[in-house]
Amino acid sequence: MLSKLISKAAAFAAALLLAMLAASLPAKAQKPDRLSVAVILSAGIENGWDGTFIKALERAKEAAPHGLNISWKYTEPLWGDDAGDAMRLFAESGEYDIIWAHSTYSDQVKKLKEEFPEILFVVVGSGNEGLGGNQYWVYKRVHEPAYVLGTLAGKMTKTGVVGAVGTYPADDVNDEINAFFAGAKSVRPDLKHSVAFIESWYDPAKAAEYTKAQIATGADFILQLANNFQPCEEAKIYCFGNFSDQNSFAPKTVLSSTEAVWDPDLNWIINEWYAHKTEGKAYDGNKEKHWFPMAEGGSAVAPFHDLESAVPENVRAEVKAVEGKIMDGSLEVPLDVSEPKTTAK
Amino acid sequence: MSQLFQEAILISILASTLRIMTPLLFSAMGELVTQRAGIWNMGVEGTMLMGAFAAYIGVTASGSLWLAVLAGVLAGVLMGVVIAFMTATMRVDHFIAGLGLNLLASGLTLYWFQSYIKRREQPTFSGFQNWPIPGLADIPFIGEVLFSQRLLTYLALLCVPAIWFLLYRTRYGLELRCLGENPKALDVKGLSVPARQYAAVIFGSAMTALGGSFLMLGFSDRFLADFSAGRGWIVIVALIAGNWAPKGVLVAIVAFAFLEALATHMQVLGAPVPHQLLLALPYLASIVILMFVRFRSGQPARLGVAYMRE
Repeated sequence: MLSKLISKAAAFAAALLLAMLAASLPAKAQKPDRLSVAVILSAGIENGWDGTFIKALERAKEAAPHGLNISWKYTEPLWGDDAGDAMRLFAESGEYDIIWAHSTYSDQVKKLKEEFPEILFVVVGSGNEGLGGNQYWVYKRVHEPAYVLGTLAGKMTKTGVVGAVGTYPADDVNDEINAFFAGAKSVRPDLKHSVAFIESWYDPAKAAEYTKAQIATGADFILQLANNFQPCEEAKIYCFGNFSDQNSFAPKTVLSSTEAVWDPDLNWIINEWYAHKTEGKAYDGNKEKHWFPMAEGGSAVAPFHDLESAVPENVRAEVKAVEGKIMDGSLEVPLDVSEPKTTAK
Repeated sequence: MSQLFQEAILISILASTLRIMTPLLFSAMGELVTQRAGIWNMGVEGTMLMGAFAAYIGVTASGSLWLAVLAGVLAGVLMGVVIAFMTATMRVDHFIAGLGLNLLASGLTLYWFQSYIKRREQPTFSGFQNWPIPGLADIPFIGEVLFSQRLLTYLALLCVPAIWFLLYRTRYGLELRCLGENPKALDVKGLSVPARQYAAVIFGSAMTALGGSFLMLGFSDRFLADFSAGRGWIVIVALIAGNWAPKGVLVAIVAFAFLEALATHMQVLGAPVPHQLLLALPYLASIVILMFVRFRSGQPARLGVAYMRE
């Protein structure tokens, strides 16, 4: 009688244990076949920062990593509480796996990340707080291509003065401008440089006056971060574009550009999400800046297009060699995020 | 810093002053006419933005800079009709009407812009080039500053005496000033107050939008959201600082533009002053000027007050 009872109890305990085990295991790997991304934009797709990311999404859709059918929806430029509201709507709809907020949005993510632990949140660039958990912090540095463009400008400048017109002196703006100057100085040590910040993300008219002022002080190569090539075109000097291949904006003026390439960032995030979904790997967002160097495809130098003949062949070869050294790791571009200053006399 | 006084830099600063002045001057002369007619139009920013946007569509669609100017001015006319309808006909509070219009312009231009470019590469254009006046442009220093500008810059400068003449030397100008001071006087003479207000606001908004068009065609190569970047507010400040008189407004705008040009060059030359302070300079100056002028106001007596027949 007793033994019967014991065996019954044992069977019951075993069944209970099994049930508990089953519950604690991740739901039997239902491999997802689709991935929906909600994108909060900060500037609009016509802008290099946002536009290059959407292009990377298009390439990812084409490549279909893990056989995923990737779809996305992006917003108009949104900031602050409006962006927070949009994120909440996306999250509550239950339709999105990743909410990719393509600028400084960690304050908004902070209010949502605990409530929606299954959603992977992404914030991008400077000004964010590394919250970890299900918030990943994508960082973009294009200082390596800027260094390459700097060597090109240093080789080709006639006046010995190069300029840069920036928006705000942020960490991921300073790195680029400093690297541009460092590149130019590496081939022309007596080079002077001039820098100006318009303190606005979008004010082409102000950018025009700052660019003209730099030209008036002798700059004949300008790294244009403030969205206006008109003054370079008018003064018949070369400008460099920023963040995307901007040659089409002014084909006779934009000699080359730094390019932000988001494919490695996107793949990283997709892999994290996929591992979470299929293997139950906990989200473990980075708390420190994480960026992919040029050698890993995180950035690139844009082609010369029709202006190739404007660059002497030996200069082209030298610049290519510098790019090659960065790619193979034999040249490390110094990362300097201090606020750049004018040295032009 | 010493190179600030080199000739080439001085020329650059002064030439820059004239360029920065141009859109502000067009818009301010337009707003002056509007306000002298008693309409406190706060929609300058939105009207400039609409003008700039229409000019962008005009130049990228037609390839003609002058057609683009026309498109900008027409956008201003439309904005003027809306403002006049709201203020002179519907008698909506002028401030609220203007502020509402600014928000509308900001949203509409962005929406239209996105619809216009869709998914393709944003079209760009080559704007106005300098138009040196033969003979005069060769004068050392002065020629480079004054006579090697864009055509519309000369026009903006000529606008000031023209508007002065209109306001103080024509019958229409007298009636227009009367609208702002004592509209009843016109009414009892059997002259239509709303008709004259419509005319003033539409003309003023067209001028304001012309300023926006120049901002696009004289400085930029593309459109961006909220392109006018607060210049409409500078225009309103200039009007108050200039005490609602063409000459005073001109002085206020020259001062503002000069400070901005100076700040630009000081930053580029690496002046040992925080550049944020330099950027704030014109705005700080505006506030100081406003503090001084409020004691001697030439503000039209009935500015912002809806006219009702008793």
